[in-house]
Amino acid sequence: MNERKYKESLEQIKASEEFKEHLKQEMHKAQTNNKERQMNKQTKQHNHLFKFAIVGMFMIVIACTYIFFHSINKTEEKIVERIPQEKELPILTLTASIDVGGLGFEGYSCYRAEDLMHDNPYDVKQIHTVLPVYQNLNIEGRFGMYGIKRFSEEKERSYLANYAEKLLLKEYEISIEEDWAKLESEMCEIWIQGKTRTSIAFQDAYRKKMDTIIKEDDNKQTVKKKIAKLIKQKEFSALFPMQKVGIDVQLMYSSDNEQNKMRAEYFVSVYEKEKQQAHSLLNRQFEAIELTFDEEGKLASISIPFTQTKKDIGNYPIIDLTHAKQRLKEGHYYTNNGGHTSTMDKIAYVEVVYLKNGTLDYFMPYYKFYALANEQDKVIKIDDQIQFYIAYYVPAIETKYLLNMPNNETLSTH
Amino acid sequence: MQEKDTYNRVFDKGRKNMHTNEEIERVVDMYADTLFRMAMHHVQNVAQAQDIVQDVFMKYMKNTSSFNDQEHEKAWLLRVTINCCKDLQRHWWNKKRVDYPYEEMTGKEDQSSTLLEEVKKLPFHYRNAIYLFYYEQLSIKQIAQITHVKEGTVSSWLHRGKKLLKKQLEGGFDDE
Repeated sequence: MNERKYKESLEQIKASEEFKEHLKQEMHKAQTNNKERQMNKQTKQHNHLFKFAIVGMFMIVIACTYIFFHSINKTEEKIVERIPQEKELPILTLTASIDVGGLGFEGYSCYRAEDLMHDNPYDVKQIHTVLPVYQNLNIEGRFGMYGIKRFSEEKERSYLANYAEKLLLKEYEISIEEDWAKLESEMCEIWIQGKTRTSIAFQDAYRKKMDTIIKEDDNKQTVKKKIAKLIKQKEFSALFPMQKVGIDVQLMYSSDNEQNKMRAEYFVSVYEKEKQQAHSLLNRQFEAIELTFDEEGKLASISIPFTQTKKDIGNYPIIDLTHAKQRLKEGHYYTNNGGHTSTMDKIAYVEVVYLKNGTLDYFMPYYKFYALANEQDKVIKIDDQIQFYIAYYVPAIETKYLLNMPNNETLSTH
Repeated sequence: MQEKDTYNRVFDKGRKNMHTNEEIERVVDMYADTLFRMAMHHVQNVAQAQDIVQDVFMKYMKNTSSFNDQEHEKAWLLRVTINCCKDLQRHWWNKKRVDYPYEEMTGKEDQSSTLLEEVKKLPFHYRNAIYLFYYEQLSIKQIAQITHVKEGTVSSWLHRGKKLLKKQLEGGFDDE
């Protein structure tokens, strides 16, 4: 009765009541956001009607004035001049909550606070003035019932063939389905994920033949050197056309339940480095090619973003780190901490990032604070020494350009 | 029957991206276990499955299409769950998160059987077809509709899946 056993084992899998409650809360939050958006939309529509009426009246006045002046003195034609308008930055409406860190829950585990630090090209301690905000042109769920915006079939084929050429693939098969566009070869599978990114996943058989790149006793610096060498190899070099290469290595530990220990994982981003920190930050955040490694330290995947998913709204003035800390203290942050809490004195690291969740209307900069969680013992059981950090995202734009600042519990100093 | 009545009452109001509290309660109570189970069938841990279920419900909140009936609604949710599981497989490199201990989230020890573990080792489409056919008791036609493929393809997934399982285990499913 194998079928019965299969069913029985599945029957035992149930969502916990705690998780169901969490789901309901998140859905209520999303519902509140929807209502707010609709109200804003209605207000905008009313504003548009009002604007049209004003513009109409203004045009009538101009026409009458023109006729009046024209009729009394033709030499005064140039009196009515167009007043130059300053370009105004639109107000950005924030939502009550966002799925930070992807979906669900975001946490970082490491042994030392230094483990969290990485080469973000943007120094938060320096004074910066403006950073761009982008409109998300590819909001998930708006294009088709399930998906994200796709290229035409012809374009997808041409992109895949182009990657095949870059990777020096001789034999491969391309399949374009309703949900995906894929190239399959002995070396790898290449997926085009809508207009968001292309992912190259190396086949198990190919990986077996590969050299191990990351070893257990490597540190971030040695990993960085190895990556610099790897991307110059002939089979990969065409994927990394940067003139000045920036390599950012992030370290995280995850639980290896089979071996009952924590395992170091490195997430590598390769981007074009530029003179200006802000430009490097934008390249790092939006154009970086990401590399991941398997448990044996061999290259598992390369993920390349498309650049057509965003549109510049404008350069917005940003707040400094002191102001950002004040906002955090006052509860103006987003977090997805899974119920864990922290305090101001437990902040271990700060960086500026763009949240790029596909469901957001805007991609805007945030100060990301990593803070040690208050109750360590509940989080990780494998290793007593490991520490657990949660992330808080504070909007980095000046207050006058933001509507609906998030409001959460204030963070105490102790 | 009562479930159907609640469904009709809630859905008669029309959707247009707005959901009542009653509807949110209903949809979570009715489908959270089903979707979580399906996600667990495809992914490796509870945290990933929870991420997927949450993502599916968020998509549900944003979805502006209306459903003909409860079956249509369930099919939509299953379909989106399948897509999210596929996406996770492709996007696994983006996961930078800590796993919750299974028993802490569910209050249970992980009791997945060897058979379930073996099914989970099958290629995505095979195990998906096996799950929908044997657990959700959907017909080949219904699975074809949900997965947007021809019925023949589903039959072949089932056939090959069972064949592979037979190799992995002694016996496979009874009707093999």
